[in-house]
Amino acid sequence: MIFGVLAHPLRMLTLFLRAVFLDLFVLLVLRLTGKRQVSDLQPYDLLMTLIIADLASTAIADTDIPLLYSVVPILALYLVQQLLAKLCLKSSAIRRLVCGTPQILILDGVLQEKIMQRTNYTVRDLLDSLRSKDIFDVGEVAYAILETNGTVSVLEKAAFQQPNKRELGLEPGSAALSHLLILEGKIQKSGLETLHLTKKDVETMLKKNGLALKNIFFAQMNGDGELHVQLDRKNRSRVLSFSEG
Amino acid sequence: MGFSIFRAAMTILICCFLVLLFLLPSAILSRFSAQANDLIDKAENALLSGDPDAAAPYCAALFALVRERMPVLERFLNHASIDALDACAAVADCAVRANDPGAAAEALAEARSVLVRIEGIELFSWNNLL
Repeated sequence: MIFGVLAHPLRMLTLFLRAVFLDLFVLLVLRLTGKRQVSDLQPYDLLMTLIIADLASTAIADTDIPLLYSVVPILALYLVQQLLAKLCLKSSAIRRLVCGTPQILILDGVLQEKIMQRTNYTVRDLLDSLRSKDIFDVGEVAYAILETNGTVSVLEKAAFQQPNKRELGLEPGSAALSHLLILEGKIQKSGLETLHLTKKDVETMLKKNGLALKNIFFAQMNGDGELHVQLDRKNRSRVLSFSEG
Repeated sequence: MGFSIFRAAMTILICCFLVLLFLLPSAILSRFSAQANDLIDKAENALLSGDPDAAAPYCAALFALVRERMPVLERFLNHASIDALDACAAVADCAVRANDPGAAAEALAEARSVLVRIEGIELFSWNNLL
């Protein structure tokens, strides 16, 4: 059998190229759907993704089937998904029909038995979800809501909520994002643009602190102009922090 | 914003591509099957009138037609059905050359039934849909 396969290297090449083509095609379609990770997916989206994968694999493995036999249904599913997404945006009734509605599992500290039965969500499932949110006592929960993508959102009772800076009367500080500035000895252009810096500014800053660009494994700057630097392995991965000024 | 425009453009392109795919392959298949059926009819009529020599050019033309259109048809038809049609056309051509009208008629009838099967599967009909 092995010799039979080797005697037809072009068939193997066909299989290889079909796999590459369909892989890129599925990648394009999934990117067009706009979903980035499995947790973003509604059950319907997940189902569509699985069907697309199955359709693609059929044409990859069987060269007797024209590629169009996979391409057309995949495109049809994409169009249906886009149509439903648009309809869901326009109409809340359709959104309820397609995506369902969030269900309150705990209302004012009371488990909603009827809703849990209706959604096939057991108390054990709920306790699992609460534990994954670092809540080990159901008595701490005021509200728990089963979202349409299957995750559980939790609002703790006021007595168990962590106090925030405002409640404690502390200085709030800035909430600006940190941006990647250097990675593996290379200055990141996107970081420079966001922070309104030039390459020369960064090099001057490093020079002032006795650092060479090539020795830096990772550097990030926050909104306050504080630079967090980690040197590379040759420099024992030392971690440094200093301000722009 | 840029991605939304790209997605909208791609969706329109996909719709156009699908419409093209709904129309073009069926037009190609209809044209091919009309030509093939015509040749089969002429070859069968010649065989029925007891003149295998007159059927020979039609069988040869049928075989040539299938071979010529094979690469295009394989883009949107299951390869097994095209291979079956090709085999029938080849047998009919060989049989008529070998002066075996019985085998040629049988191969032509088989070719016709393969064509009917292909059209039944590939062309749109409500029966196929269900």
